[in-house]
Amino acid sequence: MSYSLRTRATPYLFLAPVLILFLAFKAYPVGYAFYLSLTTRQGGADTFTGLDNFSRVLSDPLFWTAFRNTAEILAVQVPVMLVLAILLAVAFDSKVLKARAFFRVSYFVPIVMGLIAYGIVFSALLNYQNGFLNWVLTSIGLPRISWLGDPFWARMSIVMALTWHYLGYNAVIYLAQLQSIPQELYEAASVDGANRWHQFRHVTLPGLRPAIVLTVVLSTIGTLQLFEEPYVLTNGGPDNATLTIGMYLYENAFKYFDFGYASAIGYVLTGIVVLLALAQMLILRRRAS
Amino acid sequence: MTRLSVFLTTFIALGAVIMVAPFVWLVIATTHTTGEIFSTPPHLLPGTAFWDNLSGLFTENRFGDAIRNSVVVSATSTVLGVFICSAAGYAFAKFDFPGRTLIFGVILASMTLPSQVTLVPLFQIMVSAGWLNSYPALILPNLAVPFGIFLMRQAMQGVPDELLQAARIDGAGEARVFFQVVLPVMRPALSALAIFLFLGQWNDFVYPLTVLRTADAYTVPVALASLQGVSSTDYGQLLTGTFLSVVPVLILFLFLQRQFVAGLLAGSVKQ
Amino acid sequence: MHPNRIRYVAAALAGATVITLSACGGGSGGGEGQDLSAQQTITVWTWDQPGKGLEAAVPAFEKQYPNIDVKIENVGNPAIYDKTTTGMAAGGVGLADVINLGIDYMGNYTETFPDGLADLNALGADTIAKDFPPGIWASGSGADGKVYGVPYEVNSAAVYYRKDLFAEVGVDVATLATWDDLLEAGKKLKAKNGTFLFAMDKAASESSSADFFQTLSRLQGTFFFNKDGKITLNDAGSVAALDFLKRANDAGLVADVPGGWDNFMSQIKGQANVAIVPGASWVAGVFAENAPDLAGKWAIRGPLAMKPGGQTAALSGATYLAVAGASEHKKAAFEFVKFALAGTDGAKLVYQGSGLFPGYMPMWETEEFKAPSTYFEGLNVNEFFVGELKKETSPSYYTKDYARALKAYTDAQSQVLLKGADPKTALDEAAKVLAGQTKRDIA
Repeated sequence: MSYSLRTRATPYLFLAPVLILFLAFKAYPVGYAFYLSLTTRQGGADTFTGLDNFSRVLSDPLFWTAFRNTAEILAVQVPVMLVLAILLAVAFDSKVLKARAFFRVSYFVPIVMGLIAYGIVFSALLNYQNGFLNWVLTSIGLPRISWLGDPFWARMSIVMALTWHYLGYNAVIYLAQLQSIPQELYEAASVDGANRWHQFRHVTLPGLRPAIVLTVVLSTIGTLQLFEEPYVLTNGGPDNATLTIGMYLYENAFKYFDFGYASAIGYVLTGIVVLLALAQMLILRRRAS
Repeated sequence: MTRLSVFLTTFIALGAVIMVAPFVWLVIATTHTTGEIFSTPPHLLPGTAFWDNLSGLFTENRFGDAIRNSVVVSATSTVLGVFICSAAGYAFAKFDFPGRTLIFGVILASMTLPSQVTLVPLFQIMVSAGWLNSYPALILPNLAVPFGIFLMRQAMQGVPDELLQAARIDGAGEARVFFQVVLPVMRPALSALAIFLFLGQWNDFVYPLTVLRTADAYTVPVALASLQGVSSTDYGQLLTGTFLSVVPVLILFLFLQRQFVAGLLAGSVKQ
Repeated sequence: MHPNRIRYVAAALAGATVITLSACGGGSGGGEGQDLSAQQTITVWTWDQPGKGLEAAVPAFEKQYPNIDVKIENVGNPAIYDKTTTGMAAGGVGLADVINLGIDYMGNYTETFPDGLADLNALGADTIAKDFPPGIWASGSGADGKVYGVPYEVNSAAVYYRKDLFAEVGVDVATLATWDDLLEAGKKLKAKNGTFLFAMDKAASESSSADFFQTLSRLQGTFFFNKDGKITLNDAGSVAALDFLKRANDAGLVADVPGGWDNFMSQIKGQANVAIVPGASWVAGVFAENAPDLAGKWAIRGPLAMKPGGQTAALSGATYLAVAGASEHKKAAFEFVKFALAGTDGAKLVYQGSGLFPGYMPMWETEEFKAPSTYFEGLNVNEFFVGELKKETSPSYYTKDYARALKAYTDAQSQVLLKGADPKTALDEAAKVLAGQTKRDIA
């Protein structure tokens, strides 16, 4: 092998395991789901129905309800959680904080708790009659809140649960990225007389940029697929106030056995993400020029 | 302690209480019977049922098998996954090659298709391959994780190109550059990746549920789900099992988080 | 394009590892598989409690058929449905030989995946049909006359009430005739000491939130669909049922208690402050362990009538054992089902192991089955429920769209209970949504 061919082959060799595994275990499922999205099950057989499922998605009021709910949760929860996670990571990285290892583990605990326990604990916390949160509210003289029965508060409950669940996870990603910011940059900044805020603004944030891109993309995709929280807490209710796209897709596949329609919803979701990504790229490019 | 230190520590501690409170509830619940767990007012002190819950789990429900399976599967796919994902991340971050954007885009886009719609065809693959009820069925599809590839790509962008060039000029081959220069400075990111890969495999539920067929092959979440019934569920055992499933991950985290020590990279760049 | 073609193309693309995908096509079904006398192992998917019952019948079965090895796998519920659905959707492959299924899933599985479950008539189920309640048997059969499941557990609707609390306002619930009578008694009780009449999961956080409505509908001979498969979700009976819930709710008699086992137990234990628990026969079995101090205070009666002289019994759910269509051990699988559920020897073992109320009617007449309950003051609980099951009830048509109907209904129920919507308007709207989704007519 010539030197230049070897150099050209290098990245593909590093990629080879991923490409092989991807073709073996992802390509067929992704293709099969696409095929299913063009079929409807009639009389016990998959019948080709073209783009029917897609036009059904676009005219399905429940899909749009789910879309709106998902978008609202996305707009509120992701920014709040990521800002908190950045601050948390900076604190975890700072020598000013005592007992750092202990706190890191504490904030990581929620992500490890299994789905079933998660559901039980939160329904105990949010119960209207004898839940812990309402016990706190009534004991300081405030009225009870119908956490899961009121559309607004049901959405807030999902937002709180999500933040509780994933805050530590994101903080760990930031914490790992913080380690790659050379100490010299901070030293140089402090020599220049920058205060803590300036250091954060001009050294920490730019250094975190790759991790911020990562978490924004991941949280956006994760929230668009949001399923677990409404599944264990609200079942999508009350009256569809917390029905998410992920939840609706699950219902169509595993409750209604309408895999064709569920696959179409999945691909619409993918389309939305691709559009978002393109829009984001355009905006960034315009800002750069 | 400075005033700032006291303030910050207090603030973080308050948050930690909220984070840990449900876990404390879980720990207390492991010491009660199902009847006691849901009594009002709730039991805030430990009870005496822990050993009954524990022995029920291990004798009636083969929980030992489940833990063994989960540890083997999660550890294997974490070790393999760390290498596979970081190699791919390295290629995407540090090489310019035809198809780079396209391949990365496709991998990322595949992540946006919810697993509920790819579950059935993946199951068909495992049936055809004759892998139902086996470790390969659990491990192989979980090695090339888009999230992990993305994480490593972003982290590798922080590796200075000069570092790689210096090594190459010293005559190091590409494999050596990757294993002996890049991976060592990536320790914090690799630790984060290992934690997330382990966690993802450890908590995975629906897919293992579909491919595992006998109780001796169940992983922990599948074993826990089998404790759920319609009119009878032993919540004492269920929550004790949940508690036991949390502990190994926390130990792993405690062990790996030591890698998050400021200035790791700074040192190596200077050399 | 035929799915198999797609699979070939995809497999060709995938190149490596994945070979012979086409082989998994429609499962290896067809034929009855191995003969009864062959050495074989059959697997049963079930969950906790019914699993214990089946487990108890295995030794006796294996003694009778030394060549057949039965493995009971406890999958858990609801996990068993995701697992079964995946196998069905994958073309009927990778399923157990015997699968335990709820009545609410039967219609959807058999209509959507016609080859997924075996026709048990071909294996001899027609000879045991007479031993099961006809309505329950019918719900396990397809419109085409095929039989897909043998009833395991059957339940009838029941009302559990706090005799002691009603006594304080001078009411004997046993003598009341209609739900409206009970509503009036509930108002007195609420005025006297603030006790709620019953609890509802108003936000419908779990599918069980529709159970009470379904009982009230069944008492009027209606359900989500009629026998022609048309939507009856908004017929007169359904509107009357939801209207009753609204009137109770407006009078402040309905406590808001979410779904889930712990919340259900809080009602049994008296913590939720409710005077009645509208439930099913299986609930009778949970009192002694969970509310021992209320022994003698809780009492059982059958459902009240919606109108004077109306129907006073209703079925309330059932489970079945079905045989996978692709099973290579269909004969052995059905033999085990028959042994466990359709013969007194096996049914006794299953009952002792599980405590679940059997659908096998000859079992109802046996001595072991009739034992007075000390908790309910010497009432012979099983005999009482046998009486309920023998009363005239109307069949419930689940169809393949039951899950969609349930969702449309629970949304309407939440609107009524939480936002004060009008029952008729809410149900009309729900029926319209359902009709749009399912292309069914509204009756």
